[in-house]
Amino acid sequence: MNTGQLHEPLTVDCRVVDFAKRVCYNQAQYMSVVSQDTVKQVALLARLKLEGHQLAHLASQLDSILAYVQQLTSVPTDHIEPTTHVLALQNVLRPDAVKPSLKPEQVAALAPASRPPFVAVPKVIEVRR
Amino acid sequence: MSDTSLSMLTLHALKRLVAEEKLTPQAILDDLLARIQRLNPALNTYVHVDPDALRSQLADVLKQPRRGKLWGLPVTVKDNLCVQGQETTCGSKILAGYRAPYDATVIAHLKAEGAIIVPRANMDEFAFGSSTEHSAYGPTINPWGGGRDRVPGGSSGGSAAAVAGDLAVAALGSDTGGSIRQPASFCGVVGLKPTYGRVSRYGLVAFASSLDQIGPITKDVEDCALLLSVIAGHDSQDSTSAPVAVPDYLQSLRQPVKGLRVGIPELPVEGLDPQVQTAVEEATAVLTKLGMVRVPVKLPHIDKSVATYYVVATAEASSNLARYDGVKYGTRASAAGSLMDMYLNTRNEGFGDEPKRRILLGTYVLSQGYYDAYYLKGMKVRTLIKYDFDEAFQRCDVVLMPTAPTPAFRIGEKSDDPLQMYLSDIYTISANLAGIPAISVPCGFSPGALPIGMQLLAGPFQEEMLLRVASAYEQATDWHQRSPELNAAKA
Repeated sequence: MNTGQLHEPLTVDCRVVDFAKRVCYNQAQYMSVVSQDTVKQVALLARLKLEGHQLAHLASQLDSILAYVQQLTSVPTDHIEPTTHVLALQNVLRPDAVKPSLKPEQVAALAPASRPPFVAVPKVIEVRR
Repeated sequence: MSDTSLSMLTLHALKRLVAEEKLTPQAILDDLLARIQRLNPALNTYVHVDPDALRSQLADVLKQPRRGKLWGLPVTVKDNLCVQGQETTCGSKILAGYRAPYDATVIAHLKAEGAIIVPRANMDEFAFGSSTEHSAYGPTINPWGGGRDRVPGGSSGGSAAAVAGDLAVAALGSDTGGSIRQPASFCGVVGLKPTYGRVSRYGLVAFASSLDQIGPITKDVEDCALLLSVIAGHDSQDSTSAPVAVPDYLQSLRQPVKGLRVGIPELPVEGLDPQVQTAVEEATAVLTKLGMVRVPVKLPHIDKSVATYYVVATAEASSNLARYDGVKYGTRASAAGSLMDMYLNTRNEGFGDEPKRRILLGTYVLSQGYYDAYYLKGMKVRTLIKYDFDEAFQRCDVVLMPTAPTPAFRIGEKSDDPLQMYLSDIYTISANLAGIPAISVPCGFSPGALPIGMQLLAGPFQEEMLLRVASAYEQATDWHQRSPELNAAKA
């Protein structure tokens, strides 16, 4: 469906899974909120490589934190706007004026590998044979 | 060797002595460097100090024709504030070797007033933590507690421990969920988190952009007002900084507090140490004796603040930390391979466990299928927490509560139980979620001689009110005058 998909490939009827999820959310009854496989997949999306003991350890900690966070489901929030910003700021505009800024060479020099004024990375484009 | 140093004095005391020509800035810096050299190996309050760079900085300042508000006075800064030409690592291996190409706005303000910038105070990696144990450069030790076995709090633990142990005269920290106030409480010093937008975040390495604020950690309330007056103000480089005029914060000191209303909330007391509860109740009595009126207030959603915070803050952190991938700055894993391997290996080797935990949690709550249940829900509960405070400040001028549920805990006590660690921020987090200012001031000691802090909170941009009440309380008590016993043999 898309690259952000976290679920295992489903082998059971989707309606059954949806129903189970609804019941779980409503009753806040997740015993295990997140599986190790899901954590591994999330880690990959976040560009972290977790394996073996570290994966198991972080997965169990993540699971207990998420179980704690489930308490938010008990707070009624119908008709409540989400807070994206605490100050009542409107769009912030400034004059579109040219000002001094860092030189490309200065910025490239910060990179672990560079060919100023460029940053150097491993080859991205592959030639298909 | 006598255990005295000019760094034991406050900024305002040193400023007066320099103005009266009883002291030179050179003498202050020499004393400070000697004390750092003597005590830092044991306390690890600084990741790194460069005496030669500081001396040449001072020489440049002394040539300035104008004597600013902080002329020749040293101010210590946390390792997540960019200082031009200096290494800034955020307590992380992944940023090792990164030299900031520009000054953070707060650093530019301090320099404009003639301050000597003293980098780099230790911190939890990327400000993720409440104990300064999660630093790639080793833990900081709290100067209080004779056994040298207590955490200084975090994440600005290096700044707070340095001020408490007189390895700093005053310092800057940053506060996303209590990272200025909780260490200030654990170390027996004053710490202020300003209103969101009061101080520019330009040049502060971002953790959670909707919650982060830079603020002072000082030996007393007057220094806090002095530093705030220098760093506050609108900045076109930070579009979330507020175009609100900066008042003269020093004017708010020593003003009468008679008739002001102090709100006492009903709080979740699970995990609240009775010693802390008693100290805060006694502080309430001091305030009422000064003529303040005690009023009960309700903050019905405050018990949801930790859960809300760990959704909102980790979501923002996972996004902010995506930039550390070995391409633009810091370190890159040496193992060659594809671009993807470079990302994975760099982040795997560069981040410690706590950043990994938070990146995972943040990525999870933002991912498809979970966004509404976690992140959106968290942002809505955040609104309710903000409403709670709006309501409370209809009835009172300041709210009083503990800063932390306990005095400083032992090193290692919570380091492998992240949830317990997160719960030590239960009283500080709500101010960040609501965007309001809050200050921690010393209000007592445990029987084990560990400092206890109380927290005052006020409405947006009401820092003057906080400083006024905190200063009145400080004048009526002597907690802030006590110092930990530190000598070379013991340390």
